[in-house]
Amino acid sequence: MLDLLEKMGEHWRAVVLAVLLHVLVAAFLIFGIQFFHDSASKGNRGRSIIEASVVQASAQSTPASSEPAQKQPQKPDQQQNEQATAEAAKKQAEAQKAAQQKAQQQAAEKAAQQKAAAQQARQEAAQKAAQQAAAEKAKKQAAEQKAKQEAAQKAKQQAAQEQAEKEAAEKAKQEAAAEQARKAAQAKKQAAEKKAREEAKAKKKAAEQKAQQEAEAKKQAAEEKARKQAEAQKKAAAEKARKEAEAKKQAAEEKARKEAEAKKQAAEEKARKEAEAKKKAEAQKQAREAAAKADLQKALAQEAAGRQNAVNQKAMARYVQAIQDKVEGNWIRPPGASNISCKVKVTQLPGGQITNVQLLGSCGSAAIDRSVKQAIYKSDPLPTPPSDNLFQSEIEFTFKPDQ
Amino acid sequence: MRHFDFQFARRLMLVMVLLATAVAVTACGGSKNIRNNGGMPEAGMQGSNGQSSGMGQSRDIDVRGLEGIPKGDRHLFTDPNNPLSTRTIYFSLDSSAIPSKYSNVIQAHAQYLANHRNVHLRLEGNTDERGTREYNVALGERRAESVKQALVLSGANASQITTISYGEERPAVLGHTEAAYAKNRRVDFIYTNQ
Amino acid sequence: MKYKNLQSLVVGFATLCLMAIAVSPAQAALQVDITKSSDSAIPIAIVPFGSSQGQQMPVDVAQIASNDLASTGLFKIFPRGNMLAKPSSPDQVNYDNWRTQHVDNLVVGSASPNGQGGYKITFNLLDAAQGQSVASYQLNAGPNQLRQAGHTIANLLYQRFTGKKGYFLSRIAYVTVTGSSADKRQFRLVVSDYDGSHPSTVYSSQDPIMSPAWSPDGKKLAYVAFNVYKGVSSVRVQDLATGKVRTIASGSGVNGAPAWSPDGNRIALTKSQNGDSNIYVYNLSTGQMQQLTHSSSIDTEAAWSPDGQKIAFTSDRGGKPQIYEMSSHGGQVQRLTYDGQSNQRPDFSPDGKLLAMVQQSANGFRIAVMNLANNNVRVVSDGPLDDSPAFAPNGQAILYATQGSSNSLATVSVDGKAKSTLSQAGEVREPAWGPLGY
Repeated sequence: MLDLLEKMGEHWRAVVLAVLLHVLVAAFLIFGIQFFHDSASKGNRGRSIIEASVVQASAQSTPASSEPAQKQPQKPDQQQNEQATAEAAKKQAEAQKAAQQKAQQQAAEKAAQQKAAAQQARQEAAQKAAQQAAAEKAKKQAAEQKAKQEAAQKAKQQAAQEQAEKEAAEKAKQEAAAEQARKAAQAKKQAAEKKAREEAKAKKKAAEQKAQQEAEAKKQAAEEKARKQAEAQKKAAAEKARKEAEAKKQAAEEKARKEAEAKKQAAEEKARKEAEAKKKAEAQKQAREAAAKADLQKALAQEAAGRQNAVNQKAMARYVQAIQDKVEGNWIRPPGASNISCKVKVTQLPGGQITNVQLLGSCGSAAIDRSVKQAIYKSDPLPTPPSDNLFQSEIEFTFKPDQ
Repeated sequence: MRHFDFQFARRLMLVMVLLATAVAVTACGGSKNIRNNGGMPEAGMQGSNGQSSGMGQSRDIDVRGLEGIPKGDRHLFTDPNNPLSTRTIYFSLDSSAIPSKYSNVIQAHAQYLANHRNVHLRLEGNTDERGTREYNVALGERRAESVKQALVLSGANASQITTISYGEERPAVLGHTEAAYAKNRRVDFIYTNQ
Repeated sequence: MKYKNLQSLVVGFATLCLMAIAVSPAQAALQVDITKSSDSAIPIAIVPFGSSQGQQMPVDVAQIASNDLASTGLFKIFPRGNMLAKPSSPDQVNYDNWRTQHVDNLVVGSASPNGQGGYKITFNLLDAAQGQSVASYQLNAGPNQLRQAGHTIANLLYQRFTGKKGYFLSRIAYVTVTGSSADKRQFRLVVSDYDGSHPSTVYSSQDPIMSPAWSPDGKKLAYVAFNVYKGVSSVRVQDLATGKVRTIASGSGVNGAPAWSPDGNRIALTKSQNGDSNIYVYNLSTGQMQQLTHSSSIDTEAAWSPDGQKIAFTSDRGGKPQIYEMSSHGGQVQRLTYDGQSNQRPDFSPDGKLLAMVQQSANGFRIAVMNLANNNVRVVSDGPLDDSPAFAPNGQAILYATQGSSNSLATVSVDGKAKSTLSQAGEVREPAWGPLGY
């Protein structure tokens, strides 16, 4: 490589030519890209092309936005296409973005709805439970009251019956006392009274027992009913809570799932990109290696087949120097002329005879132009190359003297 | 003191030399070359008058520059014993400062001017040839002015004195040597009728 | 992806190209860089002009033109004695003969009476290397204008080769001193052609004459005259055509260093008071004198910038004399020179970009040129006692006086390369270069 560099140093003219050719190639490539790009923007090519045109579009967007479109009237189609492509891409990107945003929004809304529903259910359940509890309490109260009333009525009726019976017994007693013998009547009456008393007592006792039993039953039934109702309510609330929790759990799970999915996707994307970069680096490395290899091959080629070539280059350098020396020796610069810089194209015959001298622009003044032209004509014939294959019919002189 | 001693010794020498010259002049019949030598008084030092005897230095008696002095006083200016006989002041390179050795000369001329208010003195400044001509004219003028100031300070009236500078145009001695240059950096005293 | 492809493509192509270049010479033009030029003078032959009737012209215009070009130091004149033929028109030229003698440029021409006592002169500039005429000229000369015609031919050729106007029709003024003994010296103010030929005395005196200065129109001279008997100096303005003299400053002390303003209406000069020399401006139309500097030092040798806005001058206000610059209305003083021991007597180039001066160094007094844009100073003369630099009206040369072994005038190109001496009998000093003259 160093050897090559040295050689390049020796044959710097070749290097200059190489650089010039590089520039040409670069220019070709740039035009080539333009071409590809044109077709890409016209047709429907793959994703990568769209990406490329987007890059270009963004690069162009600044002048395109700051300057009117008619700035380049020679290429309206291309520009329009480029713009259209750019816009389409932009729109697509925007749509994608919008969709993504919408999805995200929807998910969020759904979650919120679910959350709200769960809350409502919770609230409803709590309300129902509260209402039921209130109703139960009220029923119980009502039942108790009824039972009490009933019991009170029964007792009243009993009391009324007792009174009636008492009145009847009194009447009988009076009748017995009055009509027959008082003793008997009395005894009878006493017995009757006793019996009535006992009967009333028993009857009262039975009624009491019966009312008690009835109230008890009633109470038991009400209690059972309330219990059953409370139980049902409780059961419903529990069911609701369960359902709610389940919904919540589901939402959370969905969210977690989604997050995980997104994470996974990002990781995957990252991995993909890394892999791509690695691949790219690898490709570049390969290209470099290839280039180095090519250099080496070239060097080898130069060294092997190009022993002759090196000789040629040396000869070429000597040839150029001979021309330079002759023209410099023949050039009398006008006094006081400064900032001289110009190129002169000269065509020659193989014998060095000059056939044409053409100034590519003025050297600074008519006097300098004259001196430059004369220097070249005075150098006619120009030195000839040591071998014919080094001959070139065109020579471009650059007049740029040190001040 | 040292300064005084030096001056004294110098004066003694001068007196001896001038005495010898006087003797020589007298001996040769007192012939006087009164032709002014074109503003080059120092040229006389070369002994352009070949008639002088070989025994000592000869000096032309130059009346140029004494036209404005009454004839009766002119001997004062030609008497080598008299400081008035020194009518040229020499300067150092690029300097307009009067060397201190000329203090008695300045004193004598100032005194004479003070005592003769109708006498008019023209001071002519000169330089050596180094430097540009117009700059040298200005430098010569500065020298003349410096002598004028000294005379005025010692009693002369400013209105009695005018100045002019010839720069390097009127060299006393031709030549491109340091010795010639030393003779040309000077101010000449010209007593004029005007 | 695409970028990667592009890169590999470039690399591949570059490799290909390099290999292609290495293997065979490129098909593009051979590149040759010219970075130096020959220092030699331009070789030119001016063949004696032919005349129609075969009769000799009273003036050898070809010789005048040859001398003109030679005096610049920029041209190498091919000697007539070496000419194999003396063609007077392009069709008579055998280019090979000239080429073999390395004559790149050839001038051939002829003159014929124009019927009015004068001549019609036609001539061609031929490029011997190209083997063809590159320019042809025609001019009419009056009965006594053949000498001017010769200078005009030189001007045309000079401009063709240098791109600058020639100064071969301009005149110079200078002071001569004759008489070896001090009491027989004669000062003369002389005006001559630029090369010292055809001198004519403008003013003569046994007393010193100094500092001639041309009016911008070339019709008048200002100068300093002394009267030794009276002990006074004066600045005079003399009309060259009429000889009429006008004294604009006089008296005891200094009256010197006149310099015309570019518009010709004012003269800057130096006057002294109590030994202090200062610069004044005298208005020629109003007769008014305005003092520009008020220093107790020496301020003298004023020089106007070509635009009339500034005055450069010599001053020892800083000790040694140096060159300063001020507004032409006074004020805004700034020092310009710092090189050497001292610098004196400035002169602006016609384009105002350069300042010539006398620079004192260990090598004596030499002419130096300062680039006012960057203050770079280049010494262009050899010394040891050079004085009075004066730019040529085209700015390409500087005329100056040398003292020492010989007192004469010399010219040097502004780059210091080409020097030539103007021969003139006696002691010559203080040259001043007049306007272009056409």
